[in-house]
Amino acid sequence: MVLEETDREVIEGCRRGESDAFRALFERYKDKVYTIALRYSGDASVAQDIAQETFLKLFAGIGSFRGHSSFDSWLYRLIVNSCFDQKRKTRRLTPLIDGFLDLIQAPGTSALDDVMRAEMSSRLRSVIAGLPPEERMLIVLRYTQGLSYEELGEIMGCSSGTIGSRLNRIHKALEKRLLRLAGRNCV
Amino acid sequence: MSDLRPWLEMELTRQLSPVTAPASLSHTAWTAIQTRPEKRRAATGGCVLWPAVAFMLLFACGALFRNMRDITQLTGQELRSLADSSLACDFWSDDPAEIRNWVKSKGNIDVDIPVAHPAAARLMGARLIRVRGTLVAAIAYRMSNGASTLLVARQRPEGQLYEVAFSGGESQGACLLCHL
Repeated sequence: MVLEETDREVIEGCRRGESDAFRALFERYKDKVYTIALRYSGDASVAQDIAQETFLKLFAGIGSFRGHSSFDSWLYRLIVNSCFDQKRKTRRLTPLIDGFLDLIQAPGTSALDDVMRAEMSSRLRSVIAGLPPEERMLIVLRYTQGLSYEELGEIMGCSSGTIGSRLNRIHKALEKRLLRLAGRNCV
Repeated sequence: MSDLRPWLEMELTRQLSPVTAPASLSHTAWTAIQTRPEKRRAATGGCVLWPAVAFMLLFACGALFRNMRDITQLTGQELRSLADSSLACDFWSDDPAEIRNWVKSKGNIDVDIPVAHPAAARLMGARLIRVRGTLVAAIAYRMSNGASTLLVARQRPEGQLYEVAFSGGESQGACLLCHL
């Protein structure tokens, strides 16, 4: 990923301490930072804290960014670290309707399947929230940003092959947990 | 289980779709960024040296102001030293109103900040320093040929006491802060 000329100018401006450049960088990346923080934490107020901390780290450390690697990768690493720093404060989502699935686990009609699918959708988020931090982050980066295995590998510090096998393992774990909740015959 | 994979992929994409940051983030984060300048000063790459630099500055300031009653008694060399360190702001802004509000809120000093011609000087920010126990607002400017610091102390009952520190080529450049 190559820096565009405008990005280079903005980053250089930030390194010179120019307020306008800081503002431009913030405006350009705030949605991306907030999205990852929100999808990771599942809590809007925690996401704001993470996003704020990320930008503070970004502006404090931008002098050390030389442009040799992708700025986006560097930013993603800051976000990941901020998310992990906040993990103890993160309030995990509680299941919306605990026990509901237990009541409807009998083999169902198509209408019941629809109910089950709707319920599984609502449960998926809590299942994601129950993943270990690194696995949750992989899923969040993969599906909020559409990052490739190579990009994910650069951010997480491992090979694309490792990312592929980890994602496959996570998918299987998610499927297993969802099926265990819903009953294998219902989907 | 294979039947579930397409649904799972689709559902993950839907549930984890990008969102727009709330307007409140711009306000809170930007305020935090503005009020935590020590982090941004580290952006110059001197984060490791920062504690040592801070200690040296404190030591230098202590020596500088040891025998001084007020800011008008600073020597030319002392003023140049202050101007040299003028970019060590505690609050970064090029907006006179923002700086005035910051100085007023942090130091209770109401500074009527001169707005110089943009070609002559650019407002950089402010910090608060102590001169023998007296709080002084240091307003930093970057000039075409150096750096200037406008020092403002509260002096009761007369009002404010102003002094200008300058480092660079022509010392008359500092006059451009107030005299266009």
